[in-house]
Amino acid sequence: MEDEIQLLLQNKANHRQAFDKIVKAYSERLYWHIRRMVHSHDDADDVLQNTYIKVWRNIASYRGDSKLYTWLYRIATNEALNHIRQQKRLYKVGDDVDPENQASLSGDAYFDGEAAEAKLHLAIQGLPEKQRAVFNLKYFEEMKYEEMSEVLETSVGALKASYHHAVQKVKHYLENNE
Amino acid sequence: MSEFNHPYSKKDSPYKVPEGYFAQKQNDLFAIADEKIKRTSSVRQLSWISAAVAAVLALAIFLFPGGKPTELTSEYVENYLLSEYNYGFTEETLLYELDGEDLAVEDGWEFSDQAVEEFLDNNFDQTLHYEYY
Repeated sequence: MEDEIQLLLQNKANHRQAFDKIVKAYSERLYWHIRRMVHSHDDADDVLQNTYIKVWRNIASYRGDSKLYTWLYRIATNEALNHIRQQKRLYKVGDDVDPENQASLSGDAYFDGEAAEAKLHLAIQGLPEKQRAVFNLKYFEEMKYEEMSEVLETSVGALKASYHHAVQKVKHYLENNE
Repeated sequence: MSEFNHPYSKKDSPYKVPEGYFAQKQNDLFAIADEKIKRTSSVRQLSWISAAVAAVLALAIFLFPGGKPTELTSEYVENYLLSEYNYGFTEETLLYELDGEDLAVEDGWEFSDQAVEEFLDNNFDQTLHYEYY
């Protein structure tokens, strides 16, 4: 699918068709990635929409230097991080582990707080946003560090260190909230 | 490297979405792209129209530098008389010439004799034209 889209992107006349295929192929994956970052459905919906608006605006400038999916994840991750920062500025929330985040997550109608997996996601929501992105990309998306480096524009070494710290924090949360 | 193995499947998520969300969202995203295309082409079309209008205006200004005033001013009437009757009419002879006729100025600008006479009476100093001629 990625090759087919890359081919369509080479000709401006096919950009609309390429966009349709990108939406069909990636919107669900990108949604879940964004959702794990921002946690509420409404926020994820807004961020996904903004992501695709950026994709459409920049589709002509995509040169194929990076893989299409890392390019899409970069836009989605940046949009999610921007959204989180805006929310923090709005509500003046700190950057460290955020129990308020976790409390609001528990109250979300589209979050099953009773599910066994909920605890893990509550732990992830307590991570600082950049670490959260690193953890999600590595753990859930199973992305290689080299690809993550393209998405987050951070060195592989820094990403490994960030993931290590994130794992320690998540483990700590899970051990203390059994 | 840190290893992390949570006992639950990565596919099982506590997050839920409204029913039919993804299908609806895809349609919304297609609609957004269509809207953007429509708006871009409208803006492009508008740019072309604006450019064409600007070119026509520039040409008009170049070809007709004086332009045409929107109302009958003293300056306009003087200029008109200078250009059309530059062989030395006085105001008096001009009024005589115009007597009994409607004056068609330009492009459908029509004034009755009475209106022109009143205008000339009210706005022209008799001596002014003698100075010009």
